[in-house]
Amino acid sequence: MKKYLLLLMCITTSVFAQESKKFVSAMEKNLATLKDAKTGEDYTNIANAFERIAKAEPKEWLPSYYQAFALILSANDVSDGMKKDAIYDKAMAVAKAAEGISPDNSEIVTLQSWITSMKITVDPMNRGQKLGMEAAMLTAHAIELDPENPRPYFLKGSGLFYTPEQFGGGKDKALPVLETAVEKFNNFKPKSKLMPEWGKDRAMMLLDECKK
Amino acid sequence: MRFYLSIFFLQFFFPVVVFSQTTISGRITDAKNQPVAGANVSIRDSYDGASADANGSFKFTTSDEGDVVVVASMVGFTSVEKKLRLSGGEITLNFTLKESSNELNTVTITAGAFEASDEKKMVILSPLDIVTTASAVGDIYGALQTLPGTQPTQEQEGLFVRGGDASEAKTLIDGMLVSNPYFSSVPDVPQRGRFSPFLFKGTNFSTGGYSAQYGQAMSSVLVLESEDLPPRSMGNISLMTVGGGGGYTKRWANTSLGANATYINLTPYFSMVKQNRDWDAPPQTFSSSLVFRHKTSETGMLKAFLNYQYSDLSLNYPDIEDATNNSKMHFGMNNYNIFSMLSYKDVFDKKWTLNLAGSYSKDLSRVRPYPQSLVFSNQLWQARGTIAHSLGELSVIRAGAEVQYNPFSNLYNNDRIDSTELFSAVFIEGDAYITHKLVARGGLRVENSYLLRASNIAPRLSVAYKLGKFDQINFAYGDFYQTPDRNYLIQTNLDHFEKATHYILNYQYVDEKRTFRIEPYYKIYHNLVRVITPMRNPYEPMTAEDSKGKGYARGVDVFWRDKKTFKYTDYWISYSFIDAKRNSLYNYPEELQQTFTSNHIVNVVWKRWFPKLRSSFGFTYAYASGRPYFNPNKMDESNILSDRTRDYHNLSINLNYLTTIHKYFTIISLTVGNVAGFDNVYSYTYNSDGSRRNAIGPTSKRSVFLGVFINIGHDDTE
Repeated sequence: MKKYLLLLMCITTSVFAQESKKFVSAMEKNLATLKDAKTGEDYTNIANAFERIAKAEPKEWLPSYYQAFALILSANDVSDGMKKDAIYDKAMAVAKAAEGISPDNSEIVTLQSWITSMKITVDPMNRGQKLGMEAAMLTAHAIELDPENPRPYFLKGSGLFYTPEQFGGGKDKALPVLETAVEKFNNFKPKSKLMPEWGKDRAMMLLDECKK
Repeated sequence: MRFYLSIFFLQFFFPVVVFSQTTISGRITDAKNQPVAGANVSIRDSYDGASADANGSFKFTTSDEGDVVVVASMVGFTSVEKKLRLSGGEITLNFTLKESSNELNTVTITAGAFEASDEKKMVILSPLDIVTTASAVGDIYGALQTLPGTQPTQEQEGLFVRGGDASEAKTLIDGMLVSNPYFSSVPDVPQRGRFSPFLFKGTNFSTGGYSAQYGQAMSSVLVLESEDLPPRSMGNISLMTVGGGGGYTKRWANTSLGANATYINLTPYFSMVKQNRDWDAPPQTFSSSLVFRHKTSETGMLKAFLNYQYSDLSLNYPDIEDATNNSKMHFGMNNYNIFSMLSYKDVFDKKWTLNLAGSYSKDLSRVRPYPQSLVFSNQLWQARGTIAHSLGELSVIRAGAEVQYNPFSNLYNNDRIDSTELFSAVFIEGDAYITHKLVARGGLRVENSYLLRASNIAPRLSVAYKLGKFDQINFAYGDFYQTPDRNYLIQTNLDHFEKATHYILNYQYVDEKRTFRIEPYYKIYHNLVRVITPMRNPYEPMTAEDSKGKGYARGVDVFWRDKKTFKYTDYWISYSFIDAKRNSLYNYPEELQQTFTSNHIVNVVWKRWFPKLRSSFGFTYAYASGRPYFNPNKMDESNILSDRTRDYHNLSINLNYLTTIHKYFTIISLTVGNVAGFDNVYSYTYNSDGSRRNAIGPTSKRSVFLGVFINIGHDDTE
């Protein structure tokens, strides 16, 4: 009997190992594609690939996280405001789904803040005030959830960088926040190869701009 | 056993065992056979799949076997699934995706409606537009007067819509009627609306043909939807040439509570800017409000709102009967107003939406037109419940009931009149989407008035069809009833609701940055109250002779708005042609153009943003052709109301400067009304023998408003 149990264990672990290996290798492959993506089409295709994984792996938050991430970038090539909005709305729905799998996740909340600020760009005059506050609240919440996560600081800093001085932004205000972001980036070690690690180069670039 | 084990180990070490591969390819198109680039094709519960390229083509290989479901999906389209058996080889699979309904491809009811909202993408006016319109100076009603179909009547407050008087336009907040939406009337001095535009996230202004949900308005309803939870705690301070105020809103996770107070006193301002009225005590107003919000569930919201206002003023009018011009007539007033409401909204099972609301309001005015003393009290208790059930993707059916209990009393010197009106109504309405392009809304409303001892049944119908990507047409018809003014209601000789029937045809073109609409209409009035002499003063006791008045209004409204052509610039132009006549005077059977009706009205609103100067500049130009006025020398049937005042012109400018004061975001706003100094006359008052007259013009030739508005939120830089 023991033998059979051992055998059964052997089989199940091997199946699990196989499954998780399949997941990790698919994610790694797609993350590499994501890094090389340039055009809107590239980002749409990679968002689709992550969506397929997300649908097949309802317990993993990372595929949805990266799907939303790629969707945001795919909207950069879209000029029609309505279509942009539809993409951001989908990205937000996907990010909410990721939050359902992994609640109180600083990375996901950061992404939601980013989507919210991108929605402002579609109609800054009418959305600026309301969504600006929502985005700032989400960033603050992301920092609260994980004070060592550099990305919410980066998002906050780049938000300030691009906000005109009279609205409470400007390079002077962005500088200390970006400094914190870069410092946290330098200390940040992703827990696994699949975990988010974007933003560092951009943060350093913006910091240089601020110092000019 | 050894054999089996070896197989298992084989599997363990060589986990990927390739049995057979199937290649799936095909094309994804929309209903018009256009490629859907970027669509996602996948095998359910598998990683395998592909994206459609620019031609809509896709191709991928899978090692899955047996029965699978292949799904094609795309943002803005409804996903399509196909069952398939995989057993190697090549399979061709094509998909046709249907666009899911969205604001762009779905027809909406637009006849008569001007919608403003934060949330919808295609709106004609947003809440911000209201506060940045130069002539409005932050007043909701002032901004609405730049839209077609409304009359600029500057000697009195209220919305005069398409040949209707101010009593025919009603204001509702979250479904609750506001019985005194403006500060109390002062003869020849227009008043502002009581509520700040910042309280509302949505403004739905209808100039006719509206839904069976609303009644008791023959011309227009203004449906205001209050803000939900604020995004965070924040405060504000305002300093103005006419007063100041402040407020703070505290936000918790699912709850918020805000308090605001404002004190306005026009004494210093009137001492600086010459006034055309002889003020004893310039207006002063104290306003305060409490706003409570509580999110009861993901979809549920409980709202409470309490608004309290006190105002007083007194002034002298020249006594036209006195040739020496030395004697004066005194008018003084103080007013208390409370508006309170509680509302609850929730969605059940995703398909049922419930709205419950209750409200109490009280308005108390003491008026002292020498030598009399008058006291008017008006209380309103109301309750309303509606339930909506969605059917399919877009269609919806709504039903609801409302009841209003309205005790009021008028005290004329020592004569006191007390009465109570009890009004009730039920309605049912359905929106039937036959396709995405064709919608029909049919409704029925039944009302009963206790004092009138009468009931009515009002049918409503609206049909809209989407012509192309950006344009649509809409036809609307409906009967609209209202009880006569409550001061007439106490009379026993009236037993009819006043009635208007609307026919509206609307054509609308809306793309992201431009709006064009043209709306011809025809309106027939029945059972209007008739009086012997026209009302000169809103506080005069009046007697209705009968309710046999008739009338009509016909015309066309044109609206053009463009945010695209000029950089950083947003402008709109509205034009209204109105031909409206009614016989509301008992002794004159002829239908006559009323004193509040201009035939031609033009509004140009222009705003430009100067990013480098951190400023915005705007102007509003309004034109209205002359209006009729009563001339006692021309009271015979063929000549009455035949005189017209001179045409009205007004150019107002508005400057906003954005800055920070102590790191807090601040707006400095300057508005100058009638900057070009047009000499406007709204009407005339005559002495009794008609030998002398006084022109009624604006309260001052130009008006100046300067305000500093400071927002105290979290400091973002901390």
